Amino acid sequence: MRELLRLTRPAHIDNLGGIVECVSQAARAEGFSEHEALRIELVCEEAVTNVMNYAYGDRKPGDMEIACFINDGGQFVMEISDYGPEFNSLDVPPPDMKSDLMNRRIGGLGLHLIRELTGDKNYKRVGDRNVLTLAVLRITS
Amino acid sequence: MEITSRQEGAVSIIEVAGRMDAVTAPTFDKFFREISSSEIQAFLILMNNLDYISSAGLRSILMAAKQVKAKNGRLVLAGMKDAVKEVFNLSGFQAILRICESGEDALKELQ
Repeated sequence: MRELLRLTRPAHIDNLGGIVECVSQAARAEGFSEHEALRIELVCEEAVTNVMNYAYGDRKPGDMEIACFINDGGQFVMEISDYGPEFNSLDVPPPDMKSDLMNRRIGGLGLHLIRELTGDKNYKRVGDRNVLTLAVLRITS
Repeated sequence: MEITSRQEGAVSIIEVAGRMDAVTAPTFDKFFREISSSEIQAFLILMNNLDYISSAGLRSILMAAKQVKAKNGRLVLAGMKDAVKEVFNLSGFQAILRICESGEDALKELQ
């Protein structure tokens, strides 16, 4: 794996735009297509907002770290870490995909999008960190 | 994100451009709540210039659709780019929302 970028930011929604922009620039500089870059931005936003919304509860937001790599298969890989309590977001149950419009619930949709748009995905607890690693699928035509 | 709206006959056309994400989605919520509280019953959301949508944007669209349904109105979405369409399809929203390829088709349907 070749490292492209490593960022540390407070896990606050004000930092979302800046993080997504840095990650997107790294992807585009590597020659990923427009559609692939948008997928990478989406996976990044969903994973990062999840940390921003839940990792630190109501406490003052702690830091989060985002590292980006290219793996041996040429996929864009993001490693997202936080220092919140142990939590594996890959275990979150799938969202409601069946109810009619008025009863449809939105919870879990972000994680569903992550699951659908990534190949290898891994969660591990390393010391006091949650580390989520996601390899975004390329577009094959 | 930029949001503009205009009236064509009995249809309210709302055009969204740019990015509908966790930061910008609340702006759409506020905008749509105001528009849908009027007498209008037919709504077209045009997405030709929408580049990106995340689950936060989907949540806003779902809320808008529920508001319209609650007043027995009709809502059609149209003009999605491929990356946006992909997100709608992966979410299963194509099954609960009316989505047209082009704004012209959608407008015909609503008029």
